[in-house]
Amino acid sequence: MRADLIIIGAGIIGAAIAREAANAGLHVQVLTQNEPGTGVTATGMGHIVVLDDEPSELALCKLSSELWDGFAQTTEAEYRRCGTLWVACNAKENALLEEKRIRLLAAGINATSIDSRDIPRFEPNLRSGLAGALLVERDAVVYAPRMAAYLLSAPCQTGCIDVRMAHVTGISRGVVQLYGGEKLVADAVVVAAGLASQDLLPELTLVPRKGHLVITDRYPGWVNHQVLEVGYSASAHGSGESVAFNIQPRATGQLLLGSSRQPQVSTREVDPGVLAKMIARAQEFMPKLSSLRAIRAWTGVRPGTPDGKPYIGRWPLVSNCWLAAGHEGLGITTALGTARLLIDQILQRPLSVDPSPYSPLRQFQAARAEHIA
Amino acid sequence: MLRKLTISINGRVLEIPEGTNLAAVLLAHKIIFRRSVQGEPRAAFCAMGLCGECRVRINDMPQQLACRTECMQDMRVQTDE
Repeated sequence: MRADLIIIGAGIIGAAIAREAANAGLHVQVLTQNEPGTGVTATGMGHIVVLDDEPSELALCKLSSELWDGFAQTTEAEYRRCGTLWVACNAKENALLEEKRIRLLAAGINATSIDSRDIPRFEPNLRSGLAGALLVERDAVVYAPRMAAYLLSAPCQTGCIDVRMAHVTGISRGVVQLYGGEKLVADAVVVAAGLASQDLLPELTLVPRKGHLVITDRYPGWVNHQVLEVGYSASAHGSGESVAFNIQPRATGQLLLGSSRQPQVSTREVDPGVLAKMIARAQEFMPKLSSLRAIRAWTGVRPGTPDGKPYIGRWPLVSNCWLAAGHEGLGITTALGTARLLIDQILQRPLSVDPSPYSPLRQFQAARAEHIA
Repeated sequence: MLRKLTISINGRVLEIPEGTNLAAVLLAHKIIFRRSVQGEPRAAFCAMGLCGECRVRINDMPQQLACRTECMQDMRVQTDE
């Protein structure tokens, strides 16, 4: 049977788009080279966090975070609303927290300022002498690989999702060519293959950004919220190598510790130098971390874009082809919002948020601006 | 003929052939390696050092991978703690 929509990629982004399309009544075929959710989706922390560094980011995160609420009772999502505690080291950072609080409040998201003296009540293992903290209670943690598999396999009320293991070698005008010569036809094709999207759309520019994570033995109650330094956003959006303190309590009592960013690095080996810097940064905030036992460290390569925003929209060089890729470290948070926004556009529904900041066209506009300059 | 050596698992002394993999010994004796947070028994799964399901205490060092460990004379192993 001919599909209405072919989606290439079965990470959290492809899976969310498939579910959104099926919910709209479409017959969806998902093509993937590996088991769903086992690529970069399986390497991250699964933190559902509303970032607010620019209005478009805040709008997409908020939409997506609200859509995640709908899976709070879904076993497979392993959704836990632990909240985010942003911490500030000095007065300047504390001022950034206050700006964040006001921006979130303006968007209807409640965030509570925590006085320096009260921080130990929330996180007793944070060092004393921090300048302040901001608690965003609605932020959560999910288990993304299992959620991706669930989105593709759960029964559909309308539409249907067919997942097929296949190696795509080319796309042209609603035709997807598979390794071995078979051709599949659909009304539209969505490329949601992370960094591998570049192999299918040669003009597309994505930026790999390697990250490290460490997981510890079980220490229930040692950390209660996902705790981040307020400088995390600057690290996440910066262009150079950086580390930032980011720790997450898992449901097992284990602690997941990040974060590092190495732009243009796509090797998967653990880099001991970067790992040491990352752990040292975390110990500046939680000195007693040095008494805990780490079990394993691993890396993932985030699919980034030159300007730090994902591409969600029509790919201009192939007709009936759409793109959803380059979500970098925010792909789990923004997956459901991305799916809503893309299917809004494909089906010409009223738009949930402004799609223009995410248009893949901007890659060519930026190139043209550079050329003129 | 392989030489024998002795190890202790949860206080029980076993004689095994030299060169035996620790996870193999635990599996052969149907010993529970560890438990999930929900209390489910766990045992070596991938047997190549990736999944972490075979972690046991070896010579007082916790969280060691049994599947990547060759048994040594007088090795002390604690499982399912």
